[in-house]
Amino acid sequence: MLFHTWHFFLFFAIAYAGFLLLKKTRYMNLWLLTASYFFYGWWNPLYLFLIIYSTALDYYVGLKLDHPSRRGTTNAPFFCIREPRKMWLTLSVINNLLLLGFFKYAGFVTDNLNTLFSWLNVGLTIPPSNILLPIGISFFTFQSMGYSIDVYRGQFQAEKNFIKFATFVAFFPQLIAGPIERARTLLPQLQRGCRISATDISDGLSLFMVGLFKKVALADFLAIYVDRVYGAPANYSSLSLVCATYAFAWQIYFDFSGYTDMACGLARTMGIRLTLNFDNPYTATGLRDFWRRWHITLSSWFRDYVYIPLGGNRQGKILTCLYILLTMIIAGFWHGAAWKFILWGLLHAVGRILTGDLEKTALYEKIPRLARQLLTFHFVCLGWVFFRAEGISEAMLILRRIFAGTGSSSEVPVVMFAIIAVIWMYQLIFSSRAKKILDWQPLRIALMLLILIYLMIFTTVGHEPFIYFQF
Amino acid sequence: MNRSFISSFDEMIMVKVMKNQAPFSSNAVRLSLREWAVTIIPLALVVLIIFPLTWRRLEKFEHGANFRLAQHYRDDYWLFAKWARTAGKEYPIIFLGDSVIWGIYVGNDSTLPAQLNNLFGKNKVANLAIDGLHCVALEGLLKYYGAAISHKKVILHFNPLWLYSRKFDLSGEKEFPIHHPRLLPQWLPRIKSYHDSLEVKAGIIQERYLPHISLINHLRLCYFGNQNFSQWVVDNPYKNPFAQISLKIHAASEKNSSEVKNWRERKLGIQNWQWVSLTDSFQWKYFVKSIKLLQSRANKVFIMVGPVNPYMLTPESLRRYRTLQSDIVVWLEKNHIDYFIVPDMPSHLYVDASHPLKEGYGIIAQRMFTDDTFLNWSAE
Repeated sequence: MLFHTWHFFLFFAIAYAGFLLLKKTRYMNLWLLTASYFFYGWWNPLYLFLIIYSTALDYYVGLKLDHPSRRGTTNAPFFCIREPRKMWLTLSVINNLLLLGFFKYAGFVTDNLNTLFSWLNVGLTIPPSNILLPIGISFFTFQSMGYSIDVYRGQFQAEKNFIKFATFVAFFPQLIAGPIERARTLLPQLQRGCRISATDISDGLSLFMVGLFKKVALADFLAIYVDRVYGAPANYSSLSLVCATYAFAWQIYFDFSGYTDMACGLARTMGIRLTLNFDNPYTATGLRDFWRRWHITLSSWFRDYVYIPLGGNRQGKILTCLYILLTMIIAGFWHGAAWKFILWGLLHAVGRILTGDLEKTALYEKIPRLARQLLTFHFVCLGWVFFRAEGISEAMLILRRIFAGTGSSSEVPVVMFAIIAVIWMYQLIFSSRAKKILDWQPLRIALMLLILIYLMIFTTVGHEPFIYFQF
Repeated sequence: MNRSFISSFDEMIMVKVMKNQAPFSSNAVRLSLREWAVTIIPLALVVLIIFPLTWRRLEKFEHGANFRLAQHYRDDYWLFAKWARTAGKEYPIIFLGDSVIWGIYVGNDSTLPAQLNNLFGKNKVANLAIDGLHCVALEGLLKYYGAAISHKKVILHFNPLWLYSRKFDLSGEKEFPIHHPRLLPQWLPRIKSYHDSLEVKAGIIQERYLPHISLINHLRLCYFGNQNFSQWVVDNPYKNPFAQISLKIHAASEKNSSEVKNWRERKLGIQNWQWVSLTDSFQWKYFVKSIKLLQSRANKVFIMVGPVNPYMLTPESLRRYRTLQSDIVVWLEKNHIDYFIVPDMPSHLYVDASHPLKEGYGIIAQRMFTDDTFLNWSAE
């Protein structure tokens, strides 16, 4: 049930009506949970067992971790099982990682083992894994795992009400593709009698419409060109490949941030504020800046639960670089069970390490802002080649063709790039001192009118899934 | 990711969230409720009223004598509605039917409406037929796009071939690609052989009530090779999409009817069709609904039944068809509706089971023109 479908529209109309009726009663969370489980079960009812199991275990672990006398952290690593609290936390972490590993990475592991066996001439073949990846598993396991760690650290008191906790894990607007919420931001908002102001409604509507525009009008539009060129890169000139890479950079941004905007908009109409997930990432002036702006809830999750526990920047330069490398590789692997995602993470880690000190220098600051933005954008685009290509060999082929300047005939949809240029200009203005211009009421109304007219006239509501659903 | 990054990040996200001042969004355009109202009203006005009305005036099609919509516009119901409006103003008689009336194997001047016009000596009959328009679709077409022909005389063609099997009668259960799905009842009554997703069905319902959607479909069909805007832009990277819109609708191209062979030359086999009885027929039920709808709109209805090629049927199948035909006559007479049963023609004048050759249309027109019921009906 995608947000931009009639199924969802009908579902939300019913879910929202029920929410409005019950929001002042103790049944509010039960209703939200029922709606969320219905939403999740729509894809495959069997997935419900998975999310219920994961939720139940982390709820129980949370209670075990939360004993008042046992709050606070120790210096021992959290996977140490000599202490009961660490054992419970280890159980939660391992359980979530096993779920992810089994459903998401089993195929990757068996494929690679089979390749290794064949390379070593071992007469052994592991049957290929045909496990269907449960949608949104990467998101809800991380959210649930984050809760356990927060409770262990004493940063958040365990939730005693199972329904409320289960609603936090399964809250339908953000269940499938985030934002990955923290317990301390979402759980307190799931209180009975939450107030919905007129601003919540109008903001929710604004967010949803802009998200819908990003997804249906822009991401799906760019996808047509990207799929064509990346589907047969050997047939296209270097210019076409460069343009398709630019187009993909914007496609994935519009797709994912569009989903997030819609999710935030839906939650906002219920008076619930979800965390900002994208902050004009293509206006970033460096890689560090980029990761502050791109998929913010994931990068902060990795920062708080992987990078800092590993040691962060407290153990010298070399170890800091190593931790960045490890964190980014894991983050890359989170995006998909393929070597290309690992390489993508590695590329960003190397870029991040190499430019980390450079970005702090006065020399770097002297480079015009636009040039820094363009440099960052092009590095990010280099990473997107690996991210989007079918595999590493295809990515290398694309890069070879791009840098060799091959092919004479190029297909560059002018209208498409004109639209991107306008949106990029908008974002540049948004992140500059001239931002106030965009607050001018007639301009905002005119922009929304254009968005709605474009949606009504130039797009047909389709069924293209969101890119991040596959993660 | 060092400490300064972490602290600045915390400052940016967490502090704002915890203080209940979560940023609105990265860059979304933000409107207040009042501004939404200010936006929605002109939007509805522009998209739902001004745009379709302006377009209707801007776009021209030259409808000379014996005009019919080109075959590739058969799914363009916006254009049908426009042609119906024009025909409703300029012609006293409207002829509605499927490809038999549209004249799929003949040129613009050899169709049945054209041959009737020849006999009338003036352009009196407008050809509003559409290829593949079965009775259920006809009812949908009249209901949602045919209001402009109210109060007119309407000849409604009934092609019994839609009843030759349960499949084409739409009373069967096996799914198959049905002509004009956008004109079918989408949910009630349920057509077991028609399946589409909720998305598609909801889109169809929207199209019926929001004129800009059928206009968009029209633009896509007429100017963008039936592609949506995004697909077209990618396929034509250096073309200006707005330059495509010529604002001119072309008539159907002429067909060289001498090239069309009759059914024997085409080596079509003899058929043993079972025929669905009138009482069980879904298509007939909707044909009756179409008649009632037209009558409720003060239309004067005349029914033409056939032709059906009797030589292509086995004796048993022909006997069943004759029973069906007489049942139709009984119903029409019982309901006091004027009708004309197309008589059997020589075998070589049929292209297939129902379509006549040019000469066949000539004979049908002649027979109609000597039919008192038709003459009286058309003269009133």
